[in-house]
Amino acid sequence: MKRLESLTYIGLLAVLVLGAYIRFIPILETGTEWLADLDPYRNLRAVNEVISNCRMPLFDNLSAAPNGTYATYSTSQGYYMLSSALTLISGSSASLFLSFSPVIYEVALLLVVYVFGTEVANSRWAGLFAAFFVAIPRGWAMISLIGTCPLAENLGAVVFPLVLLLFWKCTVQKRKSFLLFSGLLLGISLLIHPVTYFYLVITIFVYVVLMCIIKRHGRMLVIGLEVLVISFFAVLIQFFSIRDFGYLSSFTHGALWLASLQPVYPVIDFYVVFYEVGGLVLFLSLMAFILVFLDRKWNYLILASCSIVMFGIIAMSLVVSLRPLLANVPFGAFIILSHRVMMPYLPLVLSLLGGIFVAEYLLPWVRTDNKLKCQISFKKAVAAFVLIIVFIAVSLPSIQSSLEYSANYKWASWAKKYAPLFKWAKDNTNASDVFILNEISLGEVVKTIAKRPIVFTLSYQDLVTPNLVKRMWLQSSVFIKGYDENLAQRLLYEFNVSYVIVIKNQSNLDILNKKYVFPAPDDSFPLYLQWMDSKEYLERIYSDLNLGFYVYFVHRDRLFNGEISLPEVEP
Amino acid sequence: MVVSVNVLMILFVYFLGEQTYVRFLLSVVYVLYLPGYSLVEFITTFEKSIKGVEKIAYSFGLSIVVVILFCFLLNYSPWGIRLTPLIIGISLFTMICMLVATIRKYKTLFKPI
Repeated sequence: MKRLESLTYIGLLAVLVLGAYIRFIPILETGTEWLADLDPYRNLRAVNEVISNCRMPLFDNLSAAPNGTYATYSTSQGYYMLSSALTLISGSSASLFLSFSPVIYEVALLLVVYVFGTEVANSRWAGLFAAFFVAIPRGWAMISLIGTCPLAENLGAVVFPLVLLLFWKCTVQKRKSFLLFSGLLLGISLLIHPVTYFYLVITIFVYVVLMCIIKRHGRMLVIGLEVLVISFFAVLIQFFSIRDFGYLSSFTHGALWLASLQPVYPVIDFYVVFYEVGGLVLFLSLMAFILVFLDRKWNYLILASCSIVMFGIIAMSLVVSLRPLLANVPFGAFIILSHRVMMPYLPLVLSLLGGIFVAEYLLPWVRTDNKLKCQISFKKAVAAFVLIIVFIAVSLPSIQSSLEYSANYKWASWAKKYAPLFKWAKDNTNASDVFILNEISLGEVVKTIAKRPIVFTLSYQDLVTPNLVKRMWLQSSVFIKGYDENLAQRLLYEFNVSYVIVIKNQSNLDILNKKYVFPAPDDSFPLYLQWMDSKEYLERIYSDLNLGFYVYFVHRDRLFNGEISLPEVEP
Repeated sequence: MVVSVNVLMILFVYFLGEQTYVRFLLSVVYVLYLPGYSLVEFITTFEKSIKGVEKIAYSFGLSIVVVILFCFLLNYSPWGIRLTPLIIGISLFTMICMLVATIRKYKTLFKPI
């Protein structure tokens, strides 16, 4: 039986190699100079700032939020500092380290999940199956958190199960020495990625309340409070480093806007959960969830509590009438933007529950504490082997899908394609020249590579700007036909925009209809360009027909700058 | 192990200097594993049940805590987040933790019955 248990180490090694390889594919495809997504360019900018100034910058000069608001680099400071330390010590470029970070944090995450499953279920098979399920995600979980791009969520994903495991050890195993450790790590999660902290605090709260009700154990409440009090050091650090939490309300307002644009990407429904987690894991975790309560397996209650919280957040975000109310609550944005739960807090928890169900109920003879372990029969060993093979076979489409997803993830090569545009902007324009692009996401890359300010992007830093709605009007009116031309000119004048960039066949924001649109599909693009060329205040000064980008200079003296009132729109 | 990684890291940073993949891998271990590992070694003098893969997972978690808090300290100190203060701080921390852990382990080992 010992031999069967030791097999799990070989399995773990295979899972680690698989998980790391999936994250390594974008590096093989495009190298380390270009990151695998667009948002991480903000992280790259922050890390470069820390390295060049030797301090954490208070704000980002290139963000839309006004300087002095402390909002722009206020979150994820811990992540930026850790990445800077690693970059400095490794002697590499920040982009090299950030490119590799998904691989590094993926290995750490899989190890943590393995330990979590092993400890909670007292079976290495539970840990192994959970790690296997986590290694092959899809959709949001693949994109951001444990996925292919270097975001703060990568690190937050590792911290999330680790804090839960340590807290579980404090409460169930009554190991007091882990109290300080879990409190410290909970605090650090705030400095790494506030979403992680928010979800952890709610999960701990729900878990403690459930334990108090079910087990009538008041001591749980004290332990929960102790952990929260220890983590308060991070709240103090965060408070003294930014001195202002006012941006939270701006962010929730921005989140409300994001949730109101069709198609609604950042609000997920249960179909997305089903598609991304997969029927197998969902079924296994559901069985485990039911059995937690039927069999009174309170050891797993922490995972059940976490899944209740995550599904609760998804359900709340789907109630449209609730969103304005949530927008007035601190951290309400993390509920409105429910895609966050897939990055990858919910998939992690469901994978753990699924792994535990397999080990606890489907492979009971491989449990270390099982009395049958010394008398394992040949038939049972064969049955166990067949079961494992069946799981692997059922998961093959998921493995294939993850590999394909990673290989086809286009952002790195897409950003690389526009390198001549960034170079031109850097060499031929002034540092203070403001740009506007019809492709919203590419703005982050322009800010980082060309180091030029962009009027509007969908990144967190730009959503906290007080004049968000005005910027959205500008974004729509300049690029979409049918908007008031005077409005576009007035806003171009007000925001001092010097260059307008049109990228072929890209979606843009239509604020009036509250949706993303393709203003110029391929077949009508020449007509669209004619329309842009006909604007007398715009002059085309640089273009690349092959790459499909067109740069216009804005003649400020020809712009309409009279008074004009913005039409009223609400998110 | 802790001493040799520390020595190798200092060698790579100050004497070999170049950006190599060996230095990259070594720095990942040095920053994301070593500080936590030395702290876990210290903790295991009280909490003996931590071992195997569990130790690796906790080492990673504690390393994050140690390095981020140290970076915050440096950020508000006159030195700032620079290479030399980082190397000195992390090396000192790991060596002190290991020293204390070793002393405690030996004391327990040779404790008169």
